Amino acid sequence: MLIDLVARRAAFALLMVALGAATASAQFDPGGSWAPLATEDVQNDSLPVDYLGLALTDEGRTRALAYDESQKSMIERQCQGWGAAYMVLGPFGLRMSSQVDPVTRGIVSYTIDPWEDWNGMTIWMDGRAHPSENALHTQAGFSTGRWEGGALAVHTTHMKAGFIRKTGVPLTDQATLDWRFFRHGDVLTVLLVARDPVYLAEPEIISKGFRLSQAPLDFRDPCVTGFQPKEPGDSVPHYPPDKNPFIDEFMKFYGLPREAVMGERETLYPEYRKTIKDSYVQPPPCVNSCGAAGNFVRR
Amino acid sequence: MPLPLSDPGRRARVIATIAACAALCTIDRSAVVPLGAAPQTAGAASDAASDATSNATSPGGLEVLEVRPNFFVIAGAGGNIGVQVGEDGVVVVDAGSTARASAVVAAIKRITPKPIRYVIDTGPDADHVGGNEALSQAGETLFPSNRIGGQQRDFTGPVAAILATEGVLQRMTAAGSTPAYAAGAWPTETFHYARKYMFMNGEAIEVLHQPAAHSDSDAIVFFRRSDVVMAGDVLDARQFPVIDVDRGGSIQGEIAALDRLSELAVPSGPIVSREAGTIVVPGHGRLYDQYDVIEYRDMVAIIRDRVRDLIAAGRSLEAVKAAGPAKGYAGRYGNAGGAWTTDRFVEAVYRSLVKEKP
Amino acid sequence: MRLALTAATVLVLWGVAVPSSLQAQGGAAPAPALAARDSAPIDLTGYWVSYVTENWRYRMVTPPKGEYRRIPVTPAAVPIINAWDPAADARAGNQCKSYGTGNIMSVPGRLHITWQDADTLRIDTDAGTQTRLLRFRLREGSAGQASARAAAPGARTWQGESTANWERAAGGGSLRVTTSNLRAGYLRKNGVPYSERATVSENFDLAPLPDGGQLLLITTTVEDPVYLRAPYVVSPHFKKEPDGSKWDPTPCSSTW
Repeated sequence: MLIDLVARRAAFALLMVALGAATASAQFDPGGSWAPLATEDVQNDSLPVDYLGLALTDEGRTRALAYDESQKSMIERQCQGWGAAYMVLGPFGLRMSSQVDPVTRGIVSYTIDPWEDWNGMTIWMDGRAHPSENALHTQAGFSTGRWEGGALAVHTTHMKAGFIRKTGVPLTDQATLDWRFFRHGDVLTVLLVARDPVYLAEPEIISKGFRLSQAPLDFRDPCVTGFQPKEPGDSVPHYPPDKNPFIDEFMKFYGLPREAVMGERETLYPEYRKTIKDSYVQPPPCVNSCGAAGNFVRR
Repeated sequence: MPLPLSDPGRRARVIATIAACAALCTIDRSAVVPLGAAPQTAGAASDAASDATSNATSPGGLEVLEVRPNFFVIAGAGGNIGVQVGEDGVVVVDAGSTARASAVVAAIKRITPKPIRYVIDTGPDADHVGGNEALSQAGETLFPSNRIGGQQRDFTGPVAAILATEGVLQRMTAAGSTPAYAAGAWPTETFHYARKYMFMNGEAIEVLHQPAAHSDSDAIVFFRRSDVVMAGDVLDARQFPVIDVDRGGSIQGEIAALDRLSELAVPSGPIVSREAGTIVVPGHGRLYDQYDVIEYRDMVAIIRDRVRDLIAAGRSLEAVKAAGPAKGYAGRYGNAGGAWTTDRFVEAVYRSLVKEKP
Repeated sequence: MRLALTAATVLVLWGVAVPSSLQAQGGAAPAPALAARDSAPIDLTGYWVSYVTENWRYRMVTPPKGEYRRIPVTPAAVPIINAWDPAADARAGNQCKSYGTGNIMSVPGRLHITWQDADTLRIDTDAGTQTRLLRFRLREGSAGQASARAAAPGARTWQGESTANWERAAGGGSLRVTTSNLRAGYLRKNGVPYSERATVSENFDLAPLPDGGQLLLITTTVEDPVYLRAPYVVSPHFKKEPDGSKWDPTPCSSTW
C-alpha cells in the first residue's frame, strides 16, 4: 500500500534527521592549544602555610603543617611530579587532542598532553569501566568522560597520594576528582571538584580559564632524573607537629585570620566576614610585586 | 496526527523529541555511561594503570589481576598472591588462607593448565601460608624421581616444593603454634642466608631475606624480567605496617626493608609520563610502584622520628601514644579497632626504639 | 517512485529540522516565539551562596592598597590604584563602586535568582543589596521589551544594561550575558578600576556536585580599553541553597 510505503520511508528518513540533529549541538571540540589565564589563584608562587580557600580536616591540617618542601629535593622524588589536579593548580596551558576509532569514527578518548612535571591525562569516552580497587594508581589517575548538558564531564580515580596545594596540602590515594569542561567562544573553563575522605572536610572547588591559542603551545622537556645515587641514611625532611617555622609568616604578612590560613571550613562562606569584620586590620599598602602574576612576595 | 508545523518552537521540540527517540534506538547502548554513574570495579581498561592491571573477578570472590602477560596477582584470599606462569610451570608467591585455598587453586587453573612447581612464602602468617598444602598438593614437583644425584630427596611425594626462610619453618613447626599446620604445609626448602635464587620461565627469581622487618622471617621475591616484586607483609597498602616485635620485627628493619624495595624498583623514566616501571605487590591492598613505596616509607620514617623525639624527651609509652605521633597519617592508614590498631603500631615503634637504645 | 518518495520525505523533514537545529546552536534565527522563561534549558532560579575557594585574599577581606596582582592593568590604571581613597568614595556616595557588574559576582554573598517576567531574569544580591536585570532577546510585545524601553536611555548604573541569551546544548545549556553602559567601578575592593567603556561578558553554567547539590559557575570576562590591557577572566562559583533562610542584606561598603 502506498501509505504503508510512505510510512516506512518516513521512518527511515526521520532516522537520518535524528542522527544529524543529535550530532549538531551535542558537544564542542576541546582540541587545540589552550593558553592559561592566570587571573585566579596560581600555585607556582604559593607561600608555605597558606591554606586559604580550603576546608581541611584536622588530619589534613596536621599533615600539611608537617610538610617540609625540602622533600622535593630528595633524590628519589626528583621526577615525581604532580597529580591530576595540577591541571588547574599549575601554571601551564593545555594541549588537547582526540583519538578516533578507525572503524566507527567515534571518539575513543581525549588526551591532554603532559608538561615537564605533570603526566597529562587520558579521558576515555568509550564507556569503559574504571579499574579495580586493587589496580595500580598513577599520577594521572584513570579518567572517563561523557557529554552532559553541553559540557564535558569527567571522573578521575586511581591517583597516587599527592597534593591539592603545592606547599604540601595533601591528598590521599583515595581522593577522586570530578571535572567539567565548559567552552564559550575561545575560552575554556575547567571546573574541578576534588574530594578526599581523609583530608578534606568539604570538596575543594577550583576553576581555571584557558584561551584558545592560535599558535600551538610548546611544552618544556619532561623531567629526566640526572642524579640517582642513594642518599645515606633514611631521613625524610619534615617538621615535628606544631613546630612548622613558617606557620605565622603568611598570616602576619597579610594580617589574615588564623583560622582562614589554617583552612577551617567556615571561612569559605560569606557569613565568616561578619565574624572578622571588626578584628581585621588591612595591611599596609603594597610596595613590592604589586602587579605580579602570581602570589610572589618579595620580602 | 500531523506535526504542528505552524509554531517554529513547537516544531523544533517535536522534531527533537522524535530525533532523540530515533537516536536512542540506533546508538550502541553499551557505549553509554548513565549520568552520575558511580565507577565500576570490573572490566578491562587500558590506561597506564590498567595496562598493568587488566583484571577479572573469578568465582569464589577472588580478583585476578593481570600485571604482566605472564604474571598475575590474586587478591581476596588473605594476602596477595603472585602467580608467574610459563613453559616450566607455575611459581606462586604466598598461598593465601586455608579457607580460600581451593578457590585459589581453581583460579590458577583458569589462568593456565600448567602445574604449580613452587610455592614461595614471604612470611609465616596464616593468611600467607594457610594455602600451602593445598597449592603444593595441587602442583607437581619439577623432578618426579625422588632420588637426585644418588640422594633421597622429596619425602613429601611428587608435589610442588614450598620455599621459605628458615624462620617460617620454625614458626610453623613450633610447639603450640597457632594455627597448627600439617606437615604438608611446611616449607620443603628453606634458607637462612641473604639470598636464594632460581631461574624459571625464562627469568631470574630472587628470594631475598629481609631481616627483622615485619618479623624475623620475611622474604621479598623479585621477578627480574617480569619486573615485579612481591613484598609480603613488609608493605601493607591498607594500614600501617604490622611489626611483630615479639617475633623479631623492628621499625628499623621495616624501614630498611622499604628502602630495599625502593631500590629494587625502578620508576618510569626518562619517559616519566608513561607511568610504567617496576610493580611492587604489597602483602595486602592495591598494587604499588616505586613512588608509592617511597611515600609509604617516608610516612613510616616520619612517625619513627616523632616517636624517637618523644622517647628522647623522656616520655613513657602511654605518653607517647597520647601525643599522637601518627596524626596526619592515621586517617588513611590507622585503625581504631581490629587486630592492628594505630596504638599497637606506635607501641611497636616505641618498643623497637627502646630496645635499640644503648 | 519509491526513491522519489524517500527523497521527498527526507527533504521535507530536513527543511523543517535544519532551521530548528541552527536555532538550537544560537545561530542567526528569528527571535523565539516562546518566552525565555518557558524555553530555559537550565534552571538558575533559587538561592545561591558564594563558596570562596579562590582569590580568597581579594574577596573575603580587603587587600592592601596598591596591590593588583593577577589583573592585567594598563599603565593608566596604576596611579588610580595607588590613589584609592575609600573615605572619599564614601563621601561622594560611591560606596557601591566595587559592587558593579565588573565585580559583584566575586563579592562574597548570596544571590537570589528569579524571573521578573517571562523574558527578564532578575538577580538580587544580599551583599550590597544590588539588583541585576538580564533581558533576553525580546519578543515583540513582551513585558521585557516594554520594561527595556521604559528604562531611561543612556543612564549608566552600577549594574549597567544586560542582554541575555540561552546557549543550548543537548540536555542543557548555558546563559550568556553581555553588560555595558556601566558606571565606572572597581574590579576589587581596593580600587582597581574599570571605566565606563568596560563591557562584561558572563556565562552561567550549572554543574552537579558529586555528593548532591548544584554548583553555579559564572565565567566572567571584563574588557576595558582604558584600564585593562587584556581581558580579565574570573570564574566565581556558588552552591545552591534550599531556601533564603540565610539571606542577609548588607549595604555597600567602600572599605569592607
